[in-house]
Amino acid sequence: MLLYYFRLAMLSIKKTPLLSFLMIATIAVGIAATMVTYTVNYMMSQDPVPGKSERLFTVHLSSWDPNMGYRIKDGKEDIPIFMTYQDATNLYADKKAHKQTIISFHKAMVRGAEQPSGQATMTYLRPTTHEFFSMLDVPFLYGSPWTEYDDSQGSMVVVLSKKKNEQLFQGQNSLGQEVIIGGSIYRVIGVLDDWLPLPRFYTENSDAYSEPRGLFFPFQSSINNDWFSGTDGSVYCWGGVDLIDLDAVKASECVWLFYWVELESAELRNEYLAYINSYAQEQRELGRFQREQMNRVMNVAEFIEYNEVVKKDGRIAVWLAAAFLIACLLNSMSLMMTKFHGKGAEVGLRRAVGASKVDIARQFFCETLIIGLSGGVIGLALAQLGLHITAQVYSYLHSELMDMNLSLMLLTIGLSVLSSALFGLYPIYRACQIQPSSQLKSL
Amino acid sequence: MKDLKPIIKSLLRAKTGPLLLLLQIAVTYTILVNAVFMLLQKSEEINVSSGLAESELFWFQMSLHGTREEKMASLFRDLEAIKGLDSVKNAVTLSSIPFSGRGAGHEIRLDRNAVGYITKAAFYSGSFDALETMGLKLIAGEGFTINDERRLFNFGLTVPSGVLITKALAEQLYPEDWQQVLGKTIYLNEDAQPVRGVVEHLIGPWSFWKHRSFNVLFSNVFVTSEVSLMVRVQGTNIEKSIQDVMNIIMQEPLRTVDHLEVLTDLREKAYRSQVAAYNTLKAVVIGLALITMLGVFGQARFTVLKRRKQIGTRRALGASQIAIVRYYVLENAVINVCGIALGVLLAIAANNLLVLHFQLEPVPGLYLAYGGVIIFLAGFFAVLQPAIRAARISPAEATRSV
Repeated sequence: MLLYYFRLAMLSIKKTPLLSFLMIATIAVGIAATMVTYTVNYMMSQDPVPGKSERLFTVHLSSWDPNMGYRIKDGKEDIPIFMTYQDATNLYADKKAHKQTIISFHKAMVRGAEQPSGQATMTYLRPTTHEFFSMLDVPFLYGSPWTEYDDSQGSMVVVLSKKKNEQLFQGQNSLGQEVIIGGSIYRVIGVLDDWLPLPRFYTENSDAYSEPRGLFFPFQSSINNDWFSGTDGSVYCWGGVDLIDLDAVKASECVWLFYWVELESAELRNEYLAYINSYAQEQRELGRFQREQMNRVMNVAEFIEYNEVVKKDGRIAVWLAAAFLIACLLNSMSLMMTKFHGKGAEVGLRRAVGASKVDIARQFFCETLIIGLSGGVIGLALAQLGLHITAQVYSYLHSELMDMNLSLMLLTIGLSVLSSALFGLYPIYRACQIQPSSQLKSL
Repeated sequence: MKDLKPIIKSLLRAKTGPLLLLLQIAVTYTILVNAVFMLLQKSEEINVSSGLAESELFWFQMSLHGTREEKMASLFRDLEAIKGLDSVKNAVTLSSIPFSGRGAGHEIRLDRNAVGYITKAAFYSGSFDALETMGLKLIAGEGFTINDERRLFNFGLTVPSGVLITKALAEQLYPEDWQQVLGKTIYLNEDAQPVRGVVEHLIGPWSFWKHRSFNVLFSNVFVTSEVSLMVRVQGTNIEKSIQDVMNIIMQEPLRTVDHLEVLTDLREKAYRSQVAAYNTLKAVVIGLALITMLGVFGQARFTVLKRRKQIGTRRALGASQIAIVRYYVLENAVINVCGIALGVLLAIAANNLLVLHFQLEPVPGLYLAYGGVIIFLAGFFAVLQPAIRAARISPAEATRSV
């Protein structure tokens, strides 16, 4: 019987091609618009370290100027998201968390040791500690991270991103090769595989949707090299600090380092915060940390939310598109009313020869489903086109944001079928109400 | 107008079709008004004047090496050499660069002990002649002279050396008469600074910042291991000027250069996300308008189809073609007006939600009126063709199948 209804539905769609086309097209356009905006927004706000984001925390300390708050956010005093050199190294030395890492920044001219010096390019670098890779689940193609020993010594070793390895060494296994970073020779000990955490939660929000920096090396080695550039990241200071050299910055209350920890479970959070507070108390007794203590730890999701990584424009666009979809569905619904109305005679005839209301409802429901499904499929195609265009328009964002995964594709079709079925209910109900007698009379 | 009664009666009898159309119009109106308002705001944001002679300016960051004193000496040696070039009008060093996203800001107060702040403002600290070089206009008070220039290794804001502020900031501080700000002391965080002059307009380092028109200028050259230079070119060949400048600064062996950009490009880059959002919104607005017009069109055609017989009867009873057109146009107008009325309520509700959740500005009432007129006209044009078609139905039609 179901098959028969589908045949009837196909026949009916073919009989009124313009009307059916309009219905399918409006649904497809609405679905495509919604899914394009939703995809971008979804990809922007997904979990960058699945399975771990509950256990990764960034630590923020109340080390700011006793005379003046750091800043006001949402009407309340706020503390920096960065840490001073002293605090980061103190906490790191304590090793109270399961794993901890200091994340810094630097930039320098970089080239392969074999390349002529003219080929060096200005490159943004990531001085950090060896735990960075295991904490963030960074995959390695060749080699491995440096060791704790390298961190303590500040060994001149470097891990390259896959892309950087392609630029410098044509993608070959470059372990043991040398890279000249700002005049110093670093030895390659690892090459990353494809790695693109979106959003890139561990730094500032302006970098959230760009590619990770391509060179990683021990934080201590950048300290040994006396490297400090205040221009490729943020440095906030209080008290008249001379930002001219690293030694001044190290001793100062300037905040500029990100500090992340991994705990064994999310439940240990309060315990860790208690440790941070006791550390702050110690510092307070030494004369630092004189402001009201607001020290905090934030997990990945909380920090992404706090840091306003997902732009509100995107969320507004999703709402707009959803409203647009509703307008499209209303449109399609009135077209459906038109269509079913035109079939009054057919309904009357079927009812007269014994079809029940449920039979009529089934028949039209099949038709609605076919229209919804076609709308979904065309909508999916339009959405792919839309995403392609979006990727061009938003060329500065990573194009991975404009990729639909399988579940989003299924969602597209599902949304289309479901919404058109929902909006088809009333027209179907109306069609079922048609009295056989009234229709047969005019035949 | 005597048609109005039967129209309303017939609409009330078969209400589903018109109701759907009405809802669609209401939703469209809601989106349209809010989206167009956002669109215009974005467009204003994108096209904001910077106050700078953008097309004649380029900037770059360069490294300084050696001891503190060597760094400072090398900066001023290079600045002098660049100024000496024929293809360069002037060159200055600045702590912040407009549109670059790199800079620093302060909370501004008129009373040092006030708890809250009046506003925030970014600051530009650099050579004394940065004002003229960037092409800014001093509209009150006095600017800086070479004697005001201090050369430091920190921001040095604790010394009250005097500042210039933008007119927008002055108006924020003294809403009744911004000229009052001259000679007054303002507090940047806790540091007191007398206001020496007012600059007509200058954009801040962050294009998206809501305080982007509030800026403060100092004549403190701040030397770090990497400094930003802004160069105003002489003549029209900006490429040649850039080449000349690079030839000079690359004589220093350890020197690295980053960001070398013309300000017009920098501006474009700073606004690309807003431009992208602007284009997306535009697509939504256009798509929506088309879909709704299609809806009105389809609905009207459908009613015409449904009422062929009645139309024929009316024509046979002596109604003119004009009367038929008038009937449909009027019917459509009734639906439209109801839809818009509902839309106004929805639009206000939606806007309140947007203001609440996304901190957008509320839509001014005028937009509601404009939106209404536009939707009404669109509906009118969409119904015209079906109405005219209806009028062409011959009276014979009515008698044929009876």
